[in-house]
Order: sequence, then structure tokens, then C-alpha cells
Amino acid sequence: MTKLHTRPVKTPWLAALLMFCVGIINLSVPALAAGQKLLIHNANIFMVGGVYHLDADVEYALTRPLVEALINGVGLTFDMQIEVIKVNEWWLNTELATITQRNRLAFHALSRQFVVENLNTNVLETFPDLTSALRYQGRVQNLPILDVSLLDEDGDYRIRVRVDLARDELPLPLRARGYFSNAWQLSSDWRIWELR
Amino acid sequence: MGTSLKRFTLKRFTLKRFTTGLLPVIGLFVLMLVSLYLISDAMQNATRFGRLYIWLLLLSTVLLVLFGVLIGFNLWQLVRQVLRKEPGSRLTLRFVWLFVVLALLPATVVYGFSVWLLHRGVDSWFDVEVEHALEDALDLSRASLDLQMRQLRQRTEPLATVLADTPDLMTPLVLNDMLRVSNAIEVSLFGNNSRVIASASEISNSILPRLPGDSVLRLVSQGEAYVGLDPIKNAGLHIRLVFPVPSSPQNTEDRILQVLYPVSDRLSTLAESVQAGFGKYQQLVYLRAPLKQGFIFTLTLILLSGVMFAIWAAFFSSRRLTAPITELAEGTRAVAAGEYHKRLPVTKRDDLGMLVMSFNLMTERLADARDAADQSQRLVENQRTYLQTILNHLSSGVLSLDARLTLRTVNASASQILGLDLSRNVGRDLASLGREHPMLDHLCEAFEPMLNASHTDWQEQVNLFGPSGRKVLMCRGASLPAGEGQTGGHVIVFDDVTELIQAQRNAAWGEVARRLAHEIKNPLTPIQLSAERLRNKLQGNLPPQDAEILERSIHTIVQQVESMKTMVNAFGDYARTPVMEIAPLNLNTLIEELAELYKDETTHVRLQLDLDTNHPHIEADSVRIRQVLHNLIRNSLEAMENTQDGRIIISTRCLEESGAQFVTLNVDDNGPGFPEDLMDRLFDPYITSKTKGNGLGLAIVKKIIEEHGGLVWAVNSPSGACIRIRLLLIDVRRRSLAPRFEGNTA
Repeated sequence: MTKLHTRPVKTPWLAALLMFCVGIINLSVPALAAGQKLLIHNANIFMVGGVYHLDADVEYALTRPLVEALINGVGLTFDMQIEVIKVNEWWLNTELATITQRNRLAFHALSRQFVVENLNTNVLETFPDLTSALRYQGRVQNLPILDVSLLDEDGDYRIRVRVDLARDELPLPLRARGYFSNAWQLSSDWRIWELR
Repeated sequence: MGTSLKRFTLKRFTLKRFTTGLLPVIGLFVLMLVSLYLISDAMQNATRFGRLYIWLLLLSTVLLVLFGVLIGFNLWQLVRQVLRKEPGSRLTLRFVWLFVVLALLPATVVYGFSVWLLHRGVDSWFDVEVEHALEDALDLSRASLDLQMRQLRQRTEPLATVLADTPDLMTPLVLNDMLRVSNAIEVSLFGNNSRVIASASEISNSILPRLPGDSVLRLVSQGEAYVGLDPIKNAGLHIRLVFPVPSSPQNTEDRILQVLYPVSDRLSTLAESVQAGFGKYQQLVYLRAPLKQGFIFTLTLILLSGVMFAIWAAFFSSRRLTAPITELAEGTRAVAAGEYHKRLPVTKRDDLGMLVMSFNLMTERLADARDAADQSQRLVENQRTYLQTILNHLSSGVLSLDARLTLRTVNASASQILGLDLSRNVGRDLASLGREHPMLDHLCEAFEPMLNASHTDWQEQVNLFGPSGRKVLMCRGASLPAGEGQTGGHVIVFDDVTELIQAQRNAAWGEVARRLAHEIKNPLTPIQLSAERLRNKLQGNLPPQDAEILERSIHTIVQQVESMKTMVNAFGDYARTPVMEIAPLNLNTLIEELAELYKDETTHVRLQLDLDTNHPHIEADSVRIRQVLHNLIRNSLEAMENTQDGRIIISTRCLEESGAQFVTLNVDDNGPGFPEDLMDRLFDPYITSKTKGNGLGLAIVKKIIEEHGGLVWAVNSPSGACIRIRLLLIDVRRRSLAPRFEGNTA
């Protein structure tokens, strides 16, 4: 399920206020700010047939509580957020499109297999061990991002990619930990490409 | 400046409305309840408000912090009021404390039991037997599937050996045969790098075979076979078998055979059911601790919001309860400070409202009474001012004393007559004043018998010698009523009658002199003439013996008539008020001149002088003072005619008493002294113990001294007679005319 937003998104004041509150809380609660880092290796944006594509290898390193939760039947959802941003020289940047690739990692107790399901394509793969499952999940190849015709020729654009654990998809009792516990924080830095 | 002040006041007002107003806090509490309800709902069913769960938690926490700030602000205000000892603050604190304890105790008990029940309730969801049963079911499913997998492996493994010698071009046909023979749904052959060599599938829409994972490929590349159970989305469970294909001279490439077998529908359904149940139960067991924490956190939020609202309500209710009491206390303070017109607003009709109404009624009556008292006081003040004005304009001196003879009222004339500023001594008792002012002491001595005898009305004439000389005061006294709020005491009114008495005396003596001249002196001349005519007529006609008798009688008549004329003239001189020629006079010099005159005359009497070296200067008529000295010296000389070694001592002393500077002139002799029976009338005319003289000597002395504002009195000393004269010194006399005293009434 690829979402493509071409309408500029303005930040509403309420959201800004909430962001401010979260920012304040982030400053006051270190657990919210700091977390386990996911690493994006070999990331590359390339154009094939007028379409930008992405190649990347994401290194998922799960913490012990996350592995424990996984083994105990808690499914973990990971989001790869890809944003296309128009860079404005004299104004705030405009978010042109947001693509979210979502994978769900679960443990199938009966078969003792780790199951990776691409929630965008509903493709499901099973693996006898966690390492294989994470490696499979982290491999992104030839992922189409954006048709070049949607971009202005003289515009400056930026594409950025980030991977994180979708805390809102955790079971409700774990959601608070997802926000407030360091061990439940999994995210990568933004990887940025400039398009000129 | 004004605008900023207004804005500041408005902000303070808004803040106060927010912190103490009912509606904002009710709104806050309702918002808190809604938030908690949504949290609870999200805990029950995450699909509706699950996304908002964290935001709801944050909102509730922020609201709780707001409540905390509100309570803190209220508490700070209350503590400040208690420290300032504002009325009603202690009662509010006590109410708040009571309400908080009443709210906290049951809330804590309920919270404790709720937590305990929550632990028990959540724990009761889990059962070891159920857990074991589920694990057993899972193991059973696995055992069943393992059996099937082992059978399939035994059946499929030889197929890999078949493919060892099969060239790649033939493999599709072989794989189709295998698919048909083995009841598999997919049979695939992979080369290096997972290259698909050939594949046969029962699934119509499957284009590419399902690749085995890296770990499987790694396992197989090591020569091991892989048999595993694969859940396939929307296709149920499948058994995956992967075998390495032995190499041969025709096929040197490492090849892998993968066969997928479906698990029977029934077994798959049952196994999935067991998997789903086990997974759900396992997840539930894992989530037990976070679930409890979540419930307890929500419960704590609910309890805290309830408790905080209760605490705030305690503050609010306490203030509402104590507000009328606070107002009453402030009103009482205002009344104590004299604000009798203070009225409190009656907002309720309950008991406190009745109390407020009673307070208002009380203050109204107090105000009326105060107004009446003020009016009476103004009336009294007016009357007092009226009386004071009259008193101050009276020529008579007025003193009022209380029962303990303390000076209460004095008017200006009293101070002026007595030459003392008595207005400064109001409130002091007469005895202590008398000790400071001897003249007043003399006055008190004269009053005291009348005051102590409690005469209702009395009258007394008092002679004083003060700063302005001799004074004769006509005093009248009356007792003031006592009892029923009145302290009693006395009022004394006195007039300076010195000049009046002098004038009366002068007039009386003038009249006597005129009568004497008219009645006595006028017949004397005819008597004398008649006697002389009788002598002229009869002289020579009578025998010598009779002529001698006639001559002697006529001589006696003429002599006595002359004597009577002299006497009448002398009395006329005494009664006549001469024109005084007042001038500064050194009394010592005058005495010394006079003593020089008597030096030869007083052969049998020694005249001694003992004069003050300060040379007392007085303002007086030197002729008349000289006459005084003459009269006194002669009086003494005549009194000592038969006295051996007679002595007259004339002395002067400058003294000061009650602020009055005066000179005392003493004439002492060592004669027989004054007869005691004449002492009271010694200075009256024609009172004398001597055979000679006209009896006017001392009367003239007294008259002249009193005309000079002086005082004279006579005493007998052990050695003889003493005449004491007091005359004002010149500086004092001048000064005595200057001060004028204003009266004062206490």
C-alpha cells in the first residue's frame, strides 16, 4: 500500500502545539528522545524509466525486550517512511509525498517460524530463525518512489528515508512502554538525498 | 501606566476566577473524566481510541498537574492568610484539613482494595492447567505434523536422487511427473544463486516458485535436508521439503529440490486454531504485567483526579462556609474600630444569614446610639464652650475642685488675679500646688476649713501678698452635687476687692473727716471766739481770784479748741487721699537719711540699721514712705520712753516668694510690745495704748503702705514689738503689670 500525497501539507496550529508539548516532554523525559538506532546501509536512489527507485539494506537490531515480546506472540510493525520534500528558498519546505512501507514481524509458535509480512503487498515470508527474517525484512530493492513527471524541472527536491518501530501498532498495554521506555525505542536517522 | 495596571488587575482577577471559580474547575474535572473514560475505553477496546491512548495519558497528566497547581495555589493563599492572621483563615484551614481527611481516608481504602482486586482479577484470568493444556495441544499438533513431515520426507527424498542424472532440459517433465505422483502442490529445482531451473505447480496463479530462505539454502548447501512447516497467507499450512540434489557428471552445478505439500484442511484448521489460541494466551500471559500496570495507572489517575477534585472542593466549600463568618469577623473588627455604619450583604437565608441580619441590626442600633451620643456630646460641648466663654469673660476668678480637692476648672480671671498660670495645673491637687506657690497655699489655708466642713455656701475675705502686691480677695464657695455620675466637689468664685475696699475705706474716712470738720471744727471757732470775748469782757471786772480762774478756764477752752482743731486737721490729713508722686526710690538711702535725723534725738535709745546690701529699689512716693518711717520710729521711741537701753533695729531684706520679688522692711524694738488685746485693731484709727498722740500713727502707716500695694502687719517678739512691711521691688512691680493669663477649663 503506497500512499502518494501531492497536496502540500500545512502544519495546523493544534498539531504545532502538540508537537511543542511533545518536544517539551522529549526534553524532560530522556527515554522518549533516546532509543536504539536502526542503521540504513547501502542506500541508493536511482532513476529507471522516469521513476526514482530506492535500494537499501536496513540493519534491524532488536533489543532483548523486543525479542522477548516477539517470542511471546507480540507482532512488531516497522515503518519505512519515505518523504519527498520540495525545498523552498524563502518559505517553509513543502511535503510533496509520503510513502510508508510497512512490515510486520511475528513468531509462529506452531511452526517455530518467524513470519515477515509486507503489509503493503500482503506478501508473507517465513524464516526458521530471526536473523534471516530481519535480513529479509531489511532488504529493499528497486522500490519505486516517485515519477519524475510530478516534479518541476527548476525545483529543488529532497528525498529522505527513515525506519522506525510503529509504537502505535503495539498492543495497548505495551504502548506506554513504547513511548517511555528506552528499550522499546527503535528508529533510524533520516537518510537524505538532494534532487537537483 | 494606568492601562498596564488595569491589565494586571484584570489578569489577577482572571487568575483568581480560574483558581477559585466553580465553572472553570468543573470544566476541568469534566474534561478529566472524559479523558479517563476514553482511556478506560481504549484499555477495553483499542480499536476506537487506541491511537489516542498516549495523548489521552498526556492530557490526563497535564490536567492532573493543572489540578495540582490549582490546589497548590489555593494552599499557598490559605497559608498566607493564616500567617497574616486574616479572619476566618484558621477556620478555613481546619475545614480543609477535615474535608481532605474525610475524602482521603475512604479513597485510599477503596484504592487499596481496587489494586488488590485488580491483581487478583487479572491473575485469575490465567491458569497453569490451561497453559499446560494449550502447550500440550500445541505439542500434539506439532507431533502430528512432525509425523506427517517425516513420512513425506521418506517419500520425497528419493526424488532428489532421481534428479541427479536428469539433464536440465528434462527436468520440467520429471518435475511434472513428481508433482502428479507425490500429491505435492509445487515442485521446484533451483540452481546456483537460487536460479529457478524448473518448476511444477498445482497453483494456477503462481508464476514463480516460493524461494526458500537464506538459512534454508545455507543448511541445504551443507548437504542437509530441510523439512519445515510454512504458514502461507490465505492458503493455510504447508510442509516445505528442501533437499540437495546429488551432483553427477552431467550436472556439476549445486542444485536444490523443493517440494511443497499442503497440510490437510482439517488438520490445518485445527492446527491454526491451536496456534491462534496458544498465541493469544501466550501474548496475554506476557502482557499480564504491563496490563496490570496500565490498569493501576488508570486507576491511580482516576483516584488522583477524584482526590484532587475533592481537595479543591474542600477549599471551595470551606471558603463558602467560612465566607459569612469571615465577613462577620471583618464586620466585628470594623465595629470595634468605630465603623458603626458597617453593613454586611445578606446572601443566604440560612442560620448564618440570620446571624448576618442580626449583626446588621446590631450595627444599625449601635450607629443610632452612637449618633445620639455624638449629638449629646456636641450639645454638652456647646454648653461647655458657652460656659467657658462666660467664665473666661467673667471678671471674677472661678476655680472648681473635685471631692479630692483636685483642680478641675479654672478661668483666665482666676489666673490673672492670683498671678499664676493655673490652666497648666489642671488635674493637680490643691495641696501640691500650694507647696509650689506659697500664695496659693495661703489661699488654701483660708479655704480649707470651709471645704472640709462641707459648707454648702460660704464666703470669706482673704488677704494675700503675691507678685502684684497685696490683694484682698472676696471668696465665695459652694459645694457641687455628688452622686449619679457626678463627682461632687466645690466651686470657688473670688474677686479682687483690694481697690474696692481701699476706695470704700477712703470714702468712709473722707466722709468722717467731712462730718468732723462740719460738726466739730465749725463750732470750735465760735467757742474759741466766745471764750476770748468772755475773757475780754470780764478781765478787769472780776476780782483777782475770779479773774485767775476765768483766765485759766478760758486758757483751757482755747487750748482744747486748738487741740481739737489740730486733731480734726490730722484726721482730715489721714482721710484725704493725696496725689501720689511715684518715683524710683532706694529704700536703704531713705532709711539712712532718716536715721541721721534721729541720731541726736534718740539719746536713750540706740537706732541700729541692718540693711540689705542689694539696695532694694521700690517705686514709691518718698514723702509718704518717709512719713511711714517717721511714724514707726516715733511710735517705738514713745513706747520706750521708760525703757533703759532702748534699741530700735531697722532692717531690710530682699526676698522672693511665688515668683514675686519684694523687700521686707522690719522695725523691731525692745519695748514692752503691743498689748495683746489691741493686736486685732492695732492699725485702726484712734487705737493706742499711749497717753500721748492722736492714735493715727499706725493707721496712717497702714494706709500709706496699702496705697503702695504693700502689706503691713505687727507681731510681738520676745524682745518687743515688731512691724513688718512688704513692698514690691521695682523690677517686679513693672513686670507684674505685664502678664495676662488665659483661663482654662478641664
